[in-house]
Amino acid sequence: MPITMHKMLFIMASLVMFLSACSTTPVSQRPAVESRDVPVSSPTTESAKTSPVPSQQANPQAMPLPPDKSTGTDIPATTPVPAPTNPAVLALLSDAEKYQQQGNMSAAQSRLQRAQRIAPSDPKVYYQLAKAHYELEDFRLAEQVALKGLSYAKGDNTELKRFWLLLAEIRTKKGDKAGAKTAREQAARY
Amino acid sequence: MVSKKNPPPSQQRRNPRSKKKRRALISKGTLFKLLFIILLLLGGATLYLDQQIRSQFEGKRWALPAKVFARPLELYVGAPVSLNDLKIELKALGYQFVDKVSAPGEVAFSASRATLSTRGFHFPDELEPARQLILEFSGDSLSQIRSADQQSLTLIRLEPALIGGIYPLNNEDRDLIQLEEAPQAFIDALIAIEDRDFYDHFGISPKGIARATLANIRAGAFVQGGSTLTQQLIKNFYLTADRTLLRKMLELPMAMLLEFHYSKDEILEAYLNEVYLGQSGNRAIHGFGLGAAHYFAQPIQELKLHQLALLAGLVKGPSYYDPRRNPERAKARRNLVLSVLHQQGSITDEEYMLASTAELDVVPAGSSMKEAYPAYIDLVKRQLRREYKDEDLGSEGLKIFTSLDPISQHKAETSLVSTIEDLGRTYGESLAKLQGSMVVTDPQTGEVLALIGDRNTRYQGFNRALDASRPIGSLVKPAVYLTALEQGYTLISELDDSPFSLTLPNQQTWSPKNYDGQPHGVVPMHEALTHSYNLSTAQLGMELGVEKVIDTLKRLGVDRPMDAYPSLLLGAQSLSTLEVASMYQTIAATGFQIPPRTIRTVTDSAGEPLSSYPFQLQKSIDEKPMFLLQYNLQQVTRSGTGRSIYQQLPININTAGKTGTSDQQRDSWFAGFTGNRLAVVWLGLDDNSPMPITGSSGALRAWTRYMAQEPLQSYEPVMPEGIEMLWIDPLSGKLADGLCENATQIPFISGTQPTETAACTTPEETFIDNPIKRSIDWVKDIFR
Repeated sequence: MPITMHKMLFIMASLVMFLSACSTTPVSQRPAVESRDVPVSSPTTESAKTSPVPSQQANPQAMPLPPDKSTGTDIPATTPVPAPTNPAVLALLSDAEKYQQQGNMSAAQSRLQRAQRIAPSDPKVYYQLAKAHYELEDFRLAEQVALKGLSYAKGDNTELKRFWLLLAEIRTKKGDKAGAKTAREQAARY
Repeated sequence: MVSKKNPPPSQQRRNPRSKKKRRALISKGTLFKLLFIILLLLGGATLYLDQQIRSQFEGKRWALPAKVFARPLELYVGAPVSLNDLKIELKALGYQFVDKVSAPGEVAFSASRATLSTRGFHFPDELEPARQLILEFSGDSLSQIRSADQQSLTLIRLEPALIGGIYPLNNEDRDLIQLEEAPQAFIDALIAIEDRDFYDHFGISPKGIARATLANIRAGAFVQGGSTLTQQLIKNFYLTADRTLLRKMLELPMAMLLEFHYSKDEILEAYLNEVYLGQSGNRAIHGFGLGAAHYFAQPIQELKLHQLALLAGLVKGPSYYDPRRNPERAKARRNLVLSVLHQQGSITDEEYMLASTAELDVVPAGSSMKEAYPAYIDLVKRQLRREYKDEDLGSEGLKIFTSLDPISQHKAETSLVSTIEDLGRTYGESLAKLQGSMVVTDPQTGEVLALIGDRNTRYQGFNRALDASRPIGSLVKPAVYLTALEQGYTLISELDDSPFSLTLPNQQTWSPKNYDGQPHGVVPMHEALTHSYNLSTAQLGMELGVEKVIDTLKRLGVDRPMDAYPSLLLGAQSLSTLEVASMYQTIAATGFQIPPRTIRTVTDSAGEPLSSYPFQLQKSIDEKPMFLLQYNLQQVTRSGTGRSIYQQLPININTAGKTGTSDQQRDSWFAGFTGNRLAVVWLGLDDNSPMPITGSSGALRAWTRYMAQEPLQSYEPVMPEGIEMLWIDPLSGKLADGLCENATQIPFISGTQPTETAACTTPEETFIDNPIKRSIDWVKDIFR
């Protein structure tokens, strides 16, 4: 394929830009709202997988679920451990944020959806997606996305607080005063 | 697109044929008048033709079909892609598997590494450059991505596979290329064989005509045409196919006018895209861009000399020289092209030898990705038609980016088809005509990854995944149990699994039976679902009210009117495979309805986004009862009717799902999901005959076979607040502890859990308890 000179230059330039974006530590690109770097320590984040199965006598045959889920009754069996965000997802989220600030919502959206496909249970993705819908004043969708993200934030108090505060804002804009009040109360719990 | 060029207006009236000989017999005055009239007529006609040519050449030249793309494969460290998956993807993209990568569209594999040179792609959001990549795999995932200069890369998108088109009424398909995209060797070959004076003539070539005439006289037959490329273009472009004298007469002045207005390059580029090159079903293959894809499944830039020569040779008679039907003729024609090139010194001796002894290297008919996914494209079209007019879809060159995953689709196809064939072999005549459909989605995003509507996956007709509504059998049961859980039942609520009869409003008696024909007495609710008991489910459903269950089905995403007959409780309601997928999607997503999506973005031909389809969701069911149901559906696949799954799937992957068998085994269903894949399989006969298979012995096999090939993530629903996980003594249904034999962990919505403690919790009592338990077991066995 005959590649013209300016095409070649463009490709090279994009490559350089891409590489430089990768080599920059994502930390410096992250906005203040991002809590990724804050070490989260909450009592419920204890890894369910490393907890010993409390009841040795219990017949594993009778348990429908694999033993690694069968933890004691005080620790929820399926509490997720907030996984570190994949660098590819971080890059997409940071790009999305940049576009969002520039007002290019469709570019932001497309990156957020790519991030969601890669990390569909990462609460950070849903937070930013919810914010994007909020800024587009699609409050119904913003609320739903935030609620979905909230379910993945379990065990991460910082995330939980952030989601409830966002939900309070969304519901206020939606005119759902009672819902906003509940959200604020929930946020205050963390 | 060819750039527009307007000649100075003063030149437009020039008439190239305006000379007339005088005749002495006619008076000077008459002659002058006649001449004047002829001139006027000719001038007018020329003006008219001129206007015609320019308006068509410069306006929208072709009705451009919409192009439908698969999802691009995202590559990043940790991506759930195996080396084998990458092979499937690259095959769909027409990559050449080579030993050493030297050009875009090539890949080299070693044990755990792939080195490839991508083609790059202009996505709606950004340009993904063409580049060389080194990918390292470990097991089912990608462990490293590096560029050729050893830089590690974070995220790369491969180009998306073109999986279909939406065509204009004339069914012309084409894939526009620009002149500079056509390899020089190809242009040389085309000009050498079709019109060697192309760059020198003015639209018509007297030399060419003379040469052709001579050749025809010598051969005593019509062997060579004298038409220039310009004339051929005029013929195809402006004139009808009828061989009329008028057409012939118009062709010459029009060709000259075209040459007069436009450069050789512009004419050549139009020719490259206009030319007819064959037929694929009712789709007409136009232009060399599409021709390359049609015959070689590769972009024209990547073709080798022998392939380019064949393409150039095809122009003369795409049907006569069809390399698939008439390979010998095609080869002779190709070699003729090569020998002309060789004679005129365009290729070296070595190139000539190599190319003329090469195979045709044409991909088999029917291997085009454009016809590989008719069922999926059908769904895409239906979703598009809600917003776009048919004529726009077939003419505006829209680009439609979908979520079809060629890797998942491939795995789904092989699983479904091989299961159908196996069943046909096992059961012989009764299942000879067994049909099936399948839908695969990403349960987290609702995107449809794969869709099959017929056992012949390339069949363009009846799409069973969308249009075959069939009774869902026990797939309905989760809706019954969910309704109960919402109303305060627990997973250990006792249900009555004994026979009953009901007189229906039409005076018929309804007396359902269990699959094994046996009643099971009093059973805890979760066991009734795990083992798919009919008697207890029907009685539970009637207690709750059929209307209530219908309401639950609607909240699960079933969007069609349903009749409140009691038989609905056991699955008399008919649904399509896609509807079932959308119902189970809501279960997988813990009560969020996420409508199945196929389209991500639609752009115009220049890549400007026209519409995008964001992730949509609506919470319709509370997460707490849903969590209980999810737990119960995991029991189905661990120890119930779906347990055969774990003969193939790894034990550490949680799955959830439900078998379904309709009345008299006319339908075999399985719907289920893991963390990253949701699949629904239906098997049945088009004439609705009873079959010798159930949901577990039919559809479940295809489902498991499919899942076993996917890089699965375990299904780990987040336990919502307000749920308590408690050890329960299955015998008494009371709270147990580690000392109780057979104790099972069961989730409860806070406030509904049992408060009494089972006798087995104290060590002294366990001694006493055991014999009693044994005797009870013995009694239970009698009734089994």
